Order: sequence, then C-alpha cells, then structure tokens
Amino acid sequence: MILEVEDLKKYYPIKSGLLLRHTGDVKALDGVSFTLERGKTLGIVGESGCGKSTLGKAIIRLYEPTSGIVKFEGQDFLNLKGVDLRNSRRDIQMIFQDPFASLDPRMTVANILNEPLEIHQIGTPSERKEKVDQLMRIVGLKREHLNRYPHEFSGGQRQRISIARCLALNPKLIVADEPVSALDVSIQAQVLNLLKKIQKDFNISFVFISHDLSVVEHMCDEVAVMYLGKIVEKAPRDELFNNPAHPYTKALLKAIPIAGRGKRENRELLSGDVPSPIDPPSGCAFHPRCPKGQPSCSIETPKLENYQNNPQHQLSCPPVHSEKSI
Amino acid sequence: MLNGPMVEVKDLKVSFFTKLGEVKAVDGISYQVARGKVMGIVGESGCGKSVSSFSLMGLLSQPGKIVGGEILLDGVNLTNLGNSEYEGVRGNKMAMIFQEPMTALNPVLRIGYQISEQIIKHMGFSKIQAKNRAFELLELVGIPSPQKRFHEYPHQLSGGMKQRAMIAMALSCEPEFLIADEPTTALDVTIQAQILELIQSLQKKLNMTVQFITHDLGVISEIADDVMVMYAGRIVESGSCHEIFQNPRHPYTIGLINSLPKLGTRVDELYTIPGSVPGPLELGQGCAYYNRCSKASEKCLMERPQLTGDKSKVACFFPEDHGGIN
Repeated sequence: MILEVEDLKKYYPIKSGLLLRHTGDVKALDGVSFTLERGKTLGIVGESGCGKSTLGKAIIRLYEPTSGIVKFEGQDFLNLKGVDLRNSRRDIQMIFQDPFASLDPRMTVANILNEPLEIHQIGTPSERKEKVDQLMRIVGLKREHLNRYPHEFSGGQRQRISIARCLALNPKLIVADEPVSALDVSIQAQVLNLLKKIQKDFNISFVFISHDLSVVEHMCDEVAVMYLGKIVEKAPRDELFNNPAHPYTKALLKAIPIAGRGKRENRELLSGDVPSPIDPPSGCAFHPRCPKGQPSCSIETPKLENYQNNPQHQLSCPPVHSEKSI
Repeated sequence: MLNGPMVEVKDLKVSFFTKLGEVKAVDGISYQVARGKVMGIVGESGCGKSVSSFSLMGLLSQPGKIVGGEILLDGVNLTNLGNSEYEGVRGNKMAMIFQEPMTALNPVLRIGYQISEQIIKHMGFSKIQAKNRAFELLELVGIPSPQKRFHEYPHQLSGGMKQRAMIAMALSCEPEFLIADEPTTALDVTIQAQILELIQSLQKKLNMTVQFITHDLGVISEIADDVMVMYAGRIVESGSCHEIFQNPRHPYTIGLINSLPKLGTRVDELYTIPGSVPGPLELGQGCAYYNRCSKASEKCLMERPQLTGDKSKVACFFPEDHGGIN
C-alpha cells in the first residue's frame, strides 16, 4: 500500500456573533477512509461541495486535516515535521484544475520546472538543465518553449507544463484534482493519454479527482463516490459501473448525457439540490433526495459495509443492504 | 411569415478589431432554425459559437462588429434595426439564457424585480400584474415557494435555482425564439439533468424555437433536433442530430466524437486530434482544420471548402462517406 487514509476529517469552524464564538462546523470531510496500491489509480467522484477537492488537499497537507490518519508508504505523514516532511513531500505531487491559475505568470517554463529541483537541492546546475530538457520531452513540449511564459501557451499546453513540474521530483503519488475539466474535448483526450503514459512509464499511483464519470471510468482502477463529505460507495471500476448499488451512484450514472444516444425525455431526476454542508440533513445526508428513502434514513447515520458479501465493494445504504439479503 | 424558418442567418461575419489586427470570430456562417425545433451549436472554445449568438441578440460589445451578412428573425432583418427598435425585440420576441447565472443576474436587485422589469416594459403590465406573472413564472420553472423567492437576492439561491430564475426571466415575455448559451455548463450533472428536462418541457409547452449552444456532445445529442459543428468561426458540418452522431462526415466531427471517453467502453488509449485550435490571426485562405487533419492535401491549404450537401452539409473536400466512428 502506498497510501492509507483512515477516518480523515476536515472541519471548518463557523464563528458568529460579536465575539466570533465557535458555533458549529462545516464538515467538509467527515470520516473518509481508503487505501491505494502502488501504481494504481483511485478515482474520487462527486458533485461540487462534496469534499473531493478538500480530500485531495488534506492528503498532501495543503490543508491540515482536523483529525485522522494519512499513512504514506507506512509512514505517518500527518505527524512529519521539518526535514522529514520536506523529503516526503518530494514523493507526493499535485496537479491542479486550472492551469491558468496554478502556474506563476512571471516565471518562464524553464524556471517553473527548475524550481522544485533547486528547492530540494537535486543535482548540479547542468544536471538540472538536462533534467528539465528531459521533462519537456516526456510531456511533449519543445525545447524552444523553455524561455516562454505561461500566458504564451494554450490551456492544454499549460496543463502539460503542470504535469512536467510535478514529475520533476520523480514522485510516487500524484493527486490530480480535476486535471482536464478546464480543457476542450480534443485537448482533454491528449492530456488523459499523457497521464496514463506517465503512470505506466514511472509506476506512479494516482488519486484522480473528477466530477466526470466517463473520465473516471477511463482512468481509474477503483472508484469512490462522495456525497457531502463522506464516501457513500466504493468499488473496483468494473464492479462500480456494472453493478452500482447506492441510489446516488445510480442517479449520477443516469444523469450523464451520452453523445449519440439520441434525444432523451422524461428523465428520472433527483429532486432538489445538494444540501449545504453547514447544516447537513440528519442521518444519511442523501435521504431528502433519495428515491429509496425510508423513515429510518433520517435518524441513523449509515456506515460503509460490504455489499453482497464482496469485501471490495463497500456501500453505505441500509435499505439497499437489506433489500439484497431478503 | 408563419411558414418560413424562425431564424435565418445569411453569410454572417463578425470581426473584432484589435491592436494586432482583425480577428474574424465568425467568418461567413449561414443557417436556418426551423420553427419549434431545437438547433444545437457545438464547438470548442473560440470557435465563434457564443459570438454568433451574441450577434443575434444584438449584444456584441466593442471592439466586435458585424461586418457582413443578414440575420432574419421571422423575416425581419435584425442587422438593420436601430437600438430602440432592437430593444423591442430583445427580451420580447427573442430571449437568451446565459452560461453563468451568477454573472448574468444583477446581485443588488431582488429576483422578483429582475423578472418583472421586462414584463412591465414589454407587455405593458402594471406592477401588481407583473408580480403575479412573476409568481407564475417562478412556479413554472420549478422554484419552490415563489412568494418567498420573489423577494430574495441572487446570492441566496443555489446555482441550479439561479439558472431556473434566469430561465423564468428569459421566458417572461413568451419569446418565440430562445437562445441558450451553455446553460448547464456551470452546473453539476444531477442539476444539469433537471435543467435540460425543464428547457425541453417548456420548449414543447410553449412551442418555442431554441438555439442551444454547448461544448458538450452528450448534452447536444440529448436535446437537439439539428446540430451544427463549428470550428474556427466557420460551420464545418450540419445536419440532423441523428445523422451527425451516426454518420459524421467531417474529419473534425469524427475526431471530436472519437476522442470522448465513453461510459461502458474501455480502451487503453483515447483517440486524439493532434495539435490545437489555430489562433484567430493564424488562419490562412484554406481550410481552418488543415494543420490537424489527417486527410489534408494541397488543395485544402489553398482553397476554403464550402458547406455543401442536401440534407446534411459538410465543408470538406474529402468527407468520410460512412462510419469513421470507433
């Protein structure tokens, strides 16, 4: 296991009143657990506000989690400090969603790619130069691009620069937060292919965060579906897409428009919106929108349990569990 | 003019005059939208799909200008209208739904005021009548407790609710022609499904003609009767939705459809269109797709292909006859 996450929580305090007393919490992440094997990809899917980006950032400690355990290669990552932390950070990198915001507009591509090597004091200047050239080749950019600034590139090329930057330190794990959702369709395919290629070539593990189920199906070995700060279903890719069990997963799959399927009318719709994490519904957070909702759903908070006795397929929905056991 | 097409665009050319030169955002497009039908326009960023819609609405801003062609709405040439005459049509006979409800709604005015404003202006209703009409509209688009929402500000509504409010606003004067510019792009998939269903049911109920713009091939295939594909300011292919997805003929259309990851089909590598969209100032006299096309020949470089064909039209010297879809 390269990554083990246990009961990870990230709460943001709500302060109100004249004295800014702590009156409650926004539970952006509310007890998330999973493991990731070396060289594999875990997909995190969900709608806006479900906590999937917070999860990505909490894993790499861009946000300090409120509680929980993150083990990277068996080491307790959340309690690392100083030199140890810096050394571990080399192995975990992140690709951000918006390539227009994640590159410093005042640095040339050469500087952007050189910076991580300098910070971690890797190699001599000439070796670094060679490494930068090599990175450019890997992501399919030309040498003459080195002295240009980010604004001179298109969205797809910028995302290639981000990918090159995150490969600079030979990471073992990459957290990719919606890496293609800001890109056009024809460019999206190029970047997805590149990510798959570097995974194969360098045996990198991925946490792949996306709202797009068809992209996740293409990229991931295992998929976790999140709703309001919790994982509601988790299974290997084929199992999840062929045998989805949670009403929310099913609704998501049904809601995706598919090119070439033809005109659709009378869709089965989920009613209402994603509730606010400030004041989440009691019990199962999905119950106000759930077609299978039962009175007990609003009282008991469901837990992830094995579905159909398959230890790999975990589901937190008591009505569905009991349905199958009858 | 009840028999002709609702909208007829003839050789429309829109240019932006910048310091670097004339940018031909829309370069001679002609199409018709039949009464009561949904015309889908699909293309990547910068292909001119939004600019053409803004020109229809008379909303082009400096330095953009219509430099040629005609726009006929129900037989009336809009390009000849003065400002005040245009105001009589815009919001009345034709209306538009914008991509980002947060930027399209005025944040300092109550929802109710923004809806009733144009009812008073175009339909000559009194304030009380307009208010009642606004309640009806809010109810029509599925906003719960309209009386309460009427007095709220845009920031008090969720993304999906704001988009519903904007649809209510667009429908307030019972337009015969509705332009929807990426109305669901900023929304989550489950909310997107709700909004698509809503637009479709209203279109039927009110027998509206709709021009629906999106970059999402899945969305377009669910909602459109006819589709046109745009690339670099030109129409490269148009025809019935079924035809475009089952028998695409332009290499660009084929490339777009093939490069999508599709739910349920698993491939190791996605098809990619090489390169990226040419900059608006880099276009030569030939086919705009020349530098990315596998079939390109010298003729394509020298001469611009015209959009030809009977039922479905394609602008390519070497169109694919059948298939080409993976």
